[in-house]
Amino acid sequence: MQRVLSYAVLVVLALLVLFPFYWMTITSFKNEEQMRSLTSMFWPSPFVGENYEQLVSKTEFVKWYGNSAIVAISSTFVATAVGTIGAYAIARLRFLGRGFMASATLITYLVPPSILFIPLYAQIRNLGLSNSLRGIGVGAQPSFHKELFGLSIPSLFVAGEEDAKFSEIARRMHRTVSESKLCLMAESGHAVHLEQPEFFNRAVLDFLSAVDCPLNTLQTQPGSQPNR
Amino acid sequence: MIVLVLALVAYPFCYAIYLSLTHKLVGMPPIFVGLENYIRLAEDGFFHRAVWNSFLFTSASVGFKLLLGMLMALVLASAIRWRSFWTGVLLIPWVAPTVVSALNFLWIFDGSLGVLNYLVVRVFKILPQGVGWLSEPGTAMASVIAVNIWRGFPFFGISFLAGMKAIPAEMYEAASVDGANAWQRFRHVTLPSLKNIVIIVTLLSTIWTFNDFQIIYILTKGGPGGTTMVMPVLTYETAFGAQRLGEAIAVALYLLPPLALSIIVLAKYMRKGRKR
Repeated sequence: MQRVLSYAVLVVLALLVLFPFYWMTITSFKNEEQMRSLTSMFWPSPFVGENYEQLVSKTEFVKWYGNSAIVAISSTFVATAVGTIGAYAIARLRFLGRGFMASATLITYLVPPSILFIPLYAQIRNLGLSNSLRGIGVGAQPSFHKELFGLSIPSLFVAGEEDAKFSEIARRMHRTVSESKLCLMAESGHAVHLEQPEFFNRAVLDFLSAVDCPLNTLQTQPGSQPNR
Repeated sequence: MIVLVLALVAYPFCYAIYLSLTHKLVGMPPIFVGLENYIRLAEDGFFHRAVWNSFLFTSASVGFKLLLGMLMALVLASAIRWRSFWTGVLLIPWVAPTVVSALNFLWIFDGSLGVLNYLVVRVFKILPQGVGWLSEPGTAMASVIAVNIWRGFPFFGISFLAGMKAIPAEMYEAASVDGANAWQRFRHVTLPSLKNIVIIVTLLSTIWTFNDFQIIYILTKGGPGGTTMVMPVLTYETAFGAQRLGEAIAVALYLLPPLALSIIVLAKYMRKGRKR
């Protein structure tokens, strides 16, 4: 009786565990049409391999697979190397702060990644490693803010007033670059040229036709002429 | 080792605390503002909801994982054939990449083409019409909790199983001789022997679940309308969505007190376990 119950529970648990994987696997053998309809839900008909073909032929999947392997192998290698040496030190050597190091190692493992990823990102970026496999960061470009001081050609900085970040950047760049105009577009976010195309165009054309004129800040209001 | 820990954890951690006291936009130098970020968050209703959701998500997930894990360990420890096979099967969700499982569930839960609605409506005819599991405020939280339970319960099961195997068979024999039934053997032999493991595993899972980012971010991104917004997702959204780094770290640092508490208790029990 007890054994029957055990098997019943096992089968239910196994179904719950395996069904998502079964579903994922058979879906990978369906074509677009089958995925977009409620036909042939539990077995693909026709059974197609085109998704796999496309993955290999149309994307750089093989290279990405290699990248995953590089990341996995090298980080495991380094972690094992550092971990065994560190574990030996903590387990066998007597030194000041040994207990502290042991607890600290455990605790660092439990520090929320959400606290660390921002500073780690900044650190990696400062090392120039972002968007390279060595640092595994998200994209970044080198900052040219320091070089703006030397810029002497007339410049126009356009930003949407509701895009706080880029308005702020534009304001600071405007202060740094001596020959510059600032144009903060009201009622516009990041994509100024799409949200206020007319005013954006006018600002650019005015700037281009007036590069010789005395420079000052220019503020535009939708529905009114940009006042200088 | 010390140098590595300092460079990879201590330095970023201190830098994080400094950044949380500044007004920092991506690509711009930080401006010191003191506790402004913390004060603003303490008054922000959206943040309050994220805190509440974090606790709800964590306690519900861990509670069910504990129950399911205990069930899994009990059936695996009982007299069954092919024990290694069943153990292997039940361990799959824990070892499969979370991103893959979460994306798969995104599809399973889909309101119009998902297989869950197909099962519920057409095969078993439990509901008259499909539910937008992840897009309706009433079911979104339950759905992400279900996925977290699905992924996490094998860890409980396998840990409890290891603990149960360490209980000497004589104790069960003695209990049987004394006339204890199955429930009494579980209640008075298994549970007390597993006490330490239960506490450690529960605390570990609490920490992991509290920090869990991937499942909720992939399934709902905190939506609909903030009903599943938890603190790690809010941190990410504030940092890389709104690009307010200082405030984002302040959100993350608000996570610390409950986590620190769990970690201290955990460290205490682990040390106790090591001494015996």
